Formats: sequence, structure tokens, C-alpha cells
Amino acid sequence: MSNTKTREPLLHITRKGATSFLFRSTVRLIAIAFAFLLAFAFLAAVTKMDFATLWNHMVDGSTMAKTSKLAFWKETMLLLLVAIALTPAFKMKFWNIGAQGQILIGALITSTLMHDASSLADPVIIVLSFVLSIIVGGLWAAIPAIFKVRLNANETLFTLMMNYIAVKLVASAIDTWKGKASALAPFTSGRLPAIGTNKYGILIFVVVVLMVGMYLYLKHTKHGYEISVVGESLRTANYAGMNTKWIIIRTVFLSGALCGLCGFFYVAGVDYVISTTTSGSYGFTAIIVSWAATFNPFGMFILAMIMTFMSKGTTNIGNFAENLNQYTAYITVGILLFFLIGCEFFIQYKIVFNQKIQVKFDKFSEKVHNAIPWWFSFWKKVADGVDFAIGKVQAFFSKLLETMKTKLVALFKKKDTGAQISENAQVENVPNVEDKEGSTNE
Amino acid sequence: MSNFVSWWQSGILFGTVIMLGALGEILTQKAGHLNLGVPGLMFIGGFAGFASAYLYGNTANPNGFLLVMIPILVSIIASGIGGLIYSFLTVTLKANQNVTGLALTYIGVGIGSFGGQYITNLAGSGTYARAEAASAIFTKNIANAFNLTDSFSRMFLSYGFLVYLTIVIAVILHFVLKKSRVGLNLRAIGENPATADAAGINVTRYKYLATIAGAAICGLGGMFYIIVYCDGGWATTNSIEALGWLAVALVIFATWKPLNAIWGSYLFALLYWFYAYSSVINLKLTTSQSDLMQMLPYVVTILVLIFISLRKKKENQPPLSLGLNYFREDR
Repeated sequence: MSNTKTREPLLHITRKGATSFLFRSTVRLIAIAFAFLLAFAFLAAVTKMDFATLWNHMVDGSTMAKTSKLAFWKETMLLLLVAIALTPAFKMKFWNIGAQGQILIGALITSTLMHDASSLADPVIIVLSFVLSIIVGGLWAAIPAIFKVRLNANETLFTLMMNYIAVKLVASAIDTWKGKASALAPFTSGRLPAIGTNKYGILIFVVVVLMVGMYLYLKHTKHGYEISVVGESLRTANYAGMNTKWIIIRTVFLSGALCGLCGFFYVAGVDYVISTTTSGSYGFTAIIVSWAATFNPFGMFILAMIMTFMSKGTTNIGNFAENLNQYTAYITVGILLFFLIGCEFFIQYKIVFNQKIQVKFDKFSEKVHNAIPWWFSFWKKVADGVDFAIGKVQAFFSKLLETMKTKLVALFKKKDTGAQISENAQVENVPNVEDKEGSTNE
Repeated sequence: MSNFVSWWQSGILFGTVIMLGALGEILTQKAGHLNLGVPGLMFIGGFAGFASAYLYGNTANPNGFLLVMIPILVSIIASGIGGLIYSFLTVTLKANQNVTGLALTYIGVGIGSFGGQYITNLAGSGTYARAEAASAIFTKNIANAFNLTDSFSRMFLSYGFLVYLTIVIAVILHFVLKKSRVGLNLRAIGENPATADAAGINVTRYKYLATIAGAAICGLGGMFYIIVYCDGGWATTNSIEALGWLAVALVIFATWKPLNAIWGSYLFALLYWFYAYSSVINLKLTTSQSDLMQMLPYVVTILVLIFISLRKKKENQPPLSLGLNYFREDR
């Protein structure tokens, strides 16, 4: 016997294969529950309130009066808009952390129009600033993208620096406009109208449309497919003959354009004034929202709601406790962020214990299983059911899209010569993949 | 001339803050981890150092030595814990580095502001509190002690010991990274962790230690900002966060070399404060123009970023596996 013993390590980590939607959601829900628990423990320790009181105050923060309900939806939608905007770039593994700057530039161009073009009619200003904020936001984001594809300059740091340039541009504009006044007065012309009594009607409508649109864009279009290939492996995309440089610039432009749109909404629809902190910390939280929802816009919607609920709730608790201040929400939301980031490990990796522990663990789980066998079969059925339902919904959406697409193709073809109509009939018969390429290439 | 001297002085002090932040980040990035939590870590360190200095300084009979050591140690430990959380998430749980760093910044700003508000409330005003006793010791310097008023003394001898210590830290970091076995291993991990692992280097331990040590240095920068640069004053509207990003920018500017960070940070600071001292070169700026002037360090950083990408010189590139997590079974 040699005296060097080889000890098996206690545990090792392996990558998991595909996981079910139900499993992923369960892990995330558990993480969110733990985050709330920890946040409540912190709040309870500081305020000396019990959990029930805290929970009531927290719920009140988002739902109590009509104003807080409206503010809840406004904040959710703005956060969701930024998250949606960042998603295509992130899916491509382009780390655009310059959302703040792109929002500010969109806000700046909107404010310029509202401040300097006040002689124009309101609808003209609104349309102009809507279009210009999109274009300028996109171009602002495209600058680092161009340097990325031409020189491979690090985009994380480039976009970060662009944030501060935008901040200083805004500061300079504010100082020019306000003159000797202590603060900039709200702009009066070019404000977005309310829908009925809902001041944020247009914002909510546009963001919901963009949410569905972004889902379809990423899942069911050629562009979306190209984005995910470039994100998975740039080389594969190149070998497949994709124009990766153009794809990157195009996608980042889209990302910046939507951020610019967010800036437009901030100024024309929410604040009616611009400041260097207009975008708040949404640029950064939205990154985490987008990433934790694994780039699914509907998931982002839910996460944005939970985050806004936490932040508004904490602020409301602050109204009842003098130990809290306006920064408390940073801590509770921060706890939520960390748990969302950490739980991703349990979705992607599996912990494998060594033989000794594994045997014990198996025995234990067998005992549990024998004690309550119905639970496992029940859980399995629920899981299968949910997966089935999701499959159905996805199938419905893709079918809907396909029919829409073929109808559109047919519509355009009818206007052309007869020879092309017969070609069109052919395209309709070819199943999915080629059909997709055929129709989008036209 | 005196205007130039005061510009120079604020440049050195301001430069020391971002130099500490950048040195911490260089150490972290050399291990292959892009920690975007620097602003948060500086916030945590600044708050911890300030709070401990304030609370201990207001006790009945504070001891001078402890008044120096307590803020330093507390800020190092507090930001080190921040670094520990970051490395647990990115090294052990293999979470995305950018996302984790940003979350750390978010919560760091929250913890610092929340706790700072608590102290300012304690001080009575609600918006401002000052740790005079500690600040007085930290800013003790040769020029004041011997009553030297010539330009040279004011430019080079009028700072507290931390300014000189920071330069020493930079030089030590340079030698550790360039000349020692530990530094070689660390650089190997930053370039190619799989190779380093195969060579028998404990990748996980190095990554943890480098990240935590880096975070501690960043935290020290935050403490320096509050105790020395702001004369011990904590205002609810302080700008540590912007400084943190400036430190991240400085890492690129210094092309990941601690020695470059020394002069780079002073240059950055002089550029940053140029708007306030533009009369040095007989330039009169309106407020909106001076806002534009404050862009300078960021524009310069972008130019440097473009320049090093353009020249593609091997020794000026970021560590090869920067931002990528290492998982042994991914081959």
C-alpha cells in the first residue's frame, strides 16, 4: 500500500442538459421567494414591524390609490421597455451597458424639440421627436458597434464611456436652457396626450406591442435566427455565409433605437423635463431583468412587475418607519437581483455528490418517496401538463405567423405577373424552413 | 501660478481615489474577471470607512493610531465582503460577470447611501455629517508641519500619507504581477485558465483571492475619497459612483499596467478638473462649456480604447479570458 490516499472530492459540478419550463420557473420562483424572505428579514430588523404589517404596506405601495397603481404600471413599463431594447444586443452577446446614454440622447433630442420648436403644432413635435429619438438613439449605439466590428474594440467599456459623454451633453444643454434659473422649467409644448384619464396610455400600449413584437422578432424571423447564431458562435455565423458585421451593427442600432424611444417617453410622456438622472438606474437593472428572463420578453414583463412591486413597496414601507430612507429600495431590489443571478446556477448545472453521500441521499429520497408517493406522480403530471400547454401556445403562435406570412406574400404576388403567382403557390407548399427563407428574402 | 498649484493639488488627490479603484480593478481583471462592481465597492468602502471613523471619532477619547487603522481596516473588510459575494457568484456559481458586477454596483450604492443617511440623521442635519478627527490625522502632512509655503512643497509634500502609500501599492502590484511566481500564475489564469489548471495552479483559489484583494483596494479608494478628499464629510449627494466608472476607464487607459495607472490617474484627474481651473491658460468658460469640458477623460479613454485596438500590440491587450468564466468540464 502506498501512503498517498486518493480522496474522492465531496462533490463535483456538471452541466445539465435541456430543462423543462416548469423546472426553470420553479427554481426562479423559489429564488424570488427567498429574496423576499431575506428582504423582509432586513426590513423587519430595521423597522421592528412584523411580516404581516410589512407585507400589507408593501402591497399598498403598488395598489392602494389610483395614483400608485398608475405609477406602478408606468415604472413597470419603462423598465420593461429598456429590458426589451437591450435584449437583441445581449442575445448576440454584445454587452451594451450604454442604455443610460442612449436613453439620455433620445431624451435630449426630444427636449430640444419641445424647448426650441415650440412654435410648431403639438402633433408635429410629437411625431418629429418620436422619429428623431429613435434614429439618434440607434446611431449613438451604432458608434461602439462599428468600432467593435472593425477593430474589435471592447464594447462593454466603450458603451460605458458613451454614457458619461451623454450625461455631460445633457448637463450642458440644461445649463444653457435654464440660464440663471435654479432649475429647468417643465416643457409645455409637445406633450403626449392621455388616453381617457390614463396619462400613460400610449406608453403602455406601445410597450405591450413591442413586447409581443420582440418575442416574434427573436423567435420567428430570419433576423432573430441570425442574432441567435451570432450569439452562439461568431465563427459558425461566418462560415454559414452570414454578413456578421452588418448583423451586429443592425441589431445594436435596433437596441439603441428602442432605448432612444424610452428617452422620448420619459420626456414627452412622463416627466416633461430632462435631467442628467432621467434614466435613473434603469439602464443597469434592465440588463439584469433581460438576462434573468433568458431574453424572453414575457418573462421580462413578469420580472419587471416583481421588481417594481418590491421597489414601490419598500418605498411605501418607508412612509411608516423613520429608520428607512429613499435608498432602502436599492437594497431590497439588490437582494432580489442577487438571488435571480445566483439561481441561474441551479438551472444550468447539476451538483453530483460522491458515492458515499449519494447513497445516503438516495436512501433518504426513497424513504420520502415511499412516504408520499402520490406527490411525485402528481408533480410529474403537472409538469407534463404545463409543458404540453406551452407547446400548444408556441405552436399556435408559429402557425399564426406562418399564415400571416403566406397571406402577405400572396398579397404582394397578386400584383405581379402571372408567372410569379405560380411560383408563389410553390413557396406555400414547401414546409417551414425553406418557406421562411424564401419569404423573407423577397 | 497659485491657481496652477491648486489645480495640481486637486489633481493629485482626485487621482489617488481613481488610482486605488483602478489598481483593484487591474488585479481583478488580471485574474480574468471584469468586475463592473467597482463603483459599488468604492461606495461600500467609503461608507464603511466613514461610518467607523465618525463613530469612533465621536467616542470620549479616541486614540490617534486607532483612528487611522479602524477606518482603513473596516473599509477593506467591508468591500472585501462585497468582493467575496462577487467571486462566489461568478467563480463558484459561474454567473455572468457583467450582470453580477452591475448588481453589485446597484446594491453597493444602496447600502452606502442607506447607511450614510443613517449617519447624517444621527449627526442631526440629515444631509451632511463630518468625521473631523479622522480626517485631521489622515491629512497631516510635511508641508503643514514645517510651514513650507513654496510651490514645490505645496505640489509634492502637502498630502497625507495615503497618497504616497497608494504609489507604493502600485509599485508593489507591478512587481508582484511582473516578477513573482504568484503574479505569473495569476496572469496565466487571466490569459488561459484551462492551461493554468493543467499546470497544477489552483484556479479557483487565485480567482477568489485576486478578486477579494482587488475589491479591498477599491474600497480603500472609496474611504480615501470620503475621509481625505472630502475632508471627512459625507453628503447624501456624493459622486462616488461616477468616480468608480472613471476608475474602470483608467484600467483601459493604463493598458492593465499598474505603473501606467500612476501617471494615468493624475493625468485623468487633471483633465477632469480642468474645467474648474481653465483660467490657468486664460480660458473663460461658461457653465455649459465647462460641462462639456468634463467629458475629456471619457473621450480620452475612448480614444485610447480605439488606439490599442488599432495597434493590436500584444502587451497592450486585455487578458485573453477577460469576462469569461472558467468551468473545468467545458473543453
